Amino acid sequence: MGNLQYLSTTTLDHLRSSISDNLIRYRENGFNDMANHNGWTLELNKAKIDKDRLSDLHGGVGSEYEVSNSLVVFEGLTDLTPAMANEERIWVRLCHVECIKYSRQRWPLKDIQPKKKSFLANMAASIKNAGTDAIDQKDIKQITKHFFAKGRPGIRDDNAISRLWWNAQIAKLIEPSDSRRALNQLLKTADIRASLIERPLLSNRIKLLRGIVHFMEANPEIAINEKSFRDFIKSVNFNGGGRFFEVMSESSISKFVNMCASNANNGIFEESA
Amino acid sequence: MKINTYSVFPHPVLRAENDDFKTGAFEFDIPEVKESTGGAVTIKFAFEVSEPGLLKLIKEGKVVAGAFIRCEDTFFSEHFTTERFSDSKSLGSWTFDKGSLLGRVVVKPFLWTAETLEGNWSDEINSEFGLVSVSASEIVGIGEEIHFSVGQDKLKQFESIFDLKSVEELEKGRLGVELEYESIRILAHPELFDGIQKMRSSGRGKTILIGSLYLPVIMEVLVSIRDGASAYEGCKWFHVFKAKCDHLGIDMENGSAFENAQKLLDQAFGKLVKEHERDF
Repeated sequence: MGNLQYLSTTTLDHLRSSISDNLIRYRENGFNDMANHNGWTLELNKAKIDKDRLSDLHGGVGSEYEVSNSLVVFEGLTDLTPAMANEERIWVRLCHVECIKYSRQRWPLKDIQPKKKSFLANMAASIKNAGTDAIDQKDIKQITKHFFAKGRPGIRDDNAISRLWWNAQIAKLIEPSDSRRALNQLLKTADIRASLIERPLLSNRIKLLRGIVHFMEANPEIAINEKSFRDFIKSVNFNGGGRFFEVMSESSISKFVNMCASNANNGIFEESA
Repeated sequence: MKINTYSVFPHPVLRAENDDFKTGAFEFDIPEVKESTGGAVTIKFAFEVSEPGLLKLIKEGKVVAGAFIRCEDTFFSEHFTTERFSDSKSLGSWTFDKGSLLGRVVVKPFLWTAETLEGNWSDEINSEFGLVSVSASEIVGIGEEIHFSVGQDKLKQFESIFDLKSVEELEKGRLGVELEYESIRILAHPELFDGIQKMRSSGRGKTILIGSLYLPVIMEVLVSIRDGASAYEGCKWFHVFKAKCDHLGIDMENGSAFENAQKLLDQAFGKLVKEHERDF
């Protein structure tokens, strides 16, 4: 295992402003030839990277892959603290070098088209230019969102690698001894992740999240469809005001979550008792 | 989901701007936040509860004083308590592990019940409540929320403020330095630029560059700052450079540039000898 590397601010700024110039690199050639250049190899002394473990990332889409990939990233980057994990330059280096293969598979870009040489083909190509530009623009948007990580939402939800680390970190806070158990519930669907992780008022209440995860395990029907789950979370938000979950017992939180689910099921969002 | 001074409770809560209690107040302050070089954060706190009924319950262990501390950037969310009240005050400190806090940290002070309170648990409760029981883990006091900020200096390494540039116009084998940009630009002729890039990709080459390239550049920076720091205050690199000097107790505008550059580059020459000894 080596020290985890990250980019200089100048390199990050340059990469961000050169996405369109680098499209062929993002789509095909990669950045390996630049990986040891000035500004690409700043090192964190304490955080380590296990490149073998990161090679287990699978570009498939779906809850099962999200869970296993989150664990792969968490185990592949050891001693990374939550404060360090807010540093965009770490994640951008990973997306451009060590994890570019996974990032491309998970967030695919347009395939490279072979150059047409005949006159007619060139004519046809110029007619299609407008379409190509649109594809390029779509790719630039995809790269900006998933290969970079601006701000808290970018790091937590969008960057191809950091979102996986944060999934596992939040799961570890919820279930320190078995984060896969929490991940299985948090990542069941994109909508559930959005409801539980992307809303700070809920995601920063770890004891309540633990209660919700346990309830979801015991009552899988709550997540049977988007409406059912959204109504449940709406009820939790509605009834949770003024409660200090952090000092409540697990059984009291469980009772509260059950009451919210029951109210949601009956279309009631106000606490009945 | 929020708990603040406007939250509604079915029982009396000691907080500013309400009359649930006839007298008394719940005050909280953080007089000092200290970030250690290792990354741990310590905050000093001061609680004061002047409502006699609640103060008595705190001393009996039936009510707890503490705070809910939350940091959105790191998903830190924990509650901390204080136990030792001398008269109406409690002073102490809480320490947070390195890397657990970053950016804005929110501290919400509360008093909450450790067990069910029955009947007339304070003489100062507004008579409109009558006899009101309160279950365990309910809030009975809310203080004013306090925020502080935690920095991220550990990631600001020197290397991040330098930018090596290839410049055709420069004489072969010579280097130049430009300080008027966001980063400190080190200019090199393309041939030298390529050579430096190759050296940077090996551990030994990197160590050699610290003493032979970065050390004189930093001396040049220190001399330039001495001639007029204000010229660089708008540059990003200057703030990192200044923070590093402050951290190491270096007066940028005085002292030996050679000595200060060595301090800033931490063992620029010691590592060089180690690399040499390792190879032979």
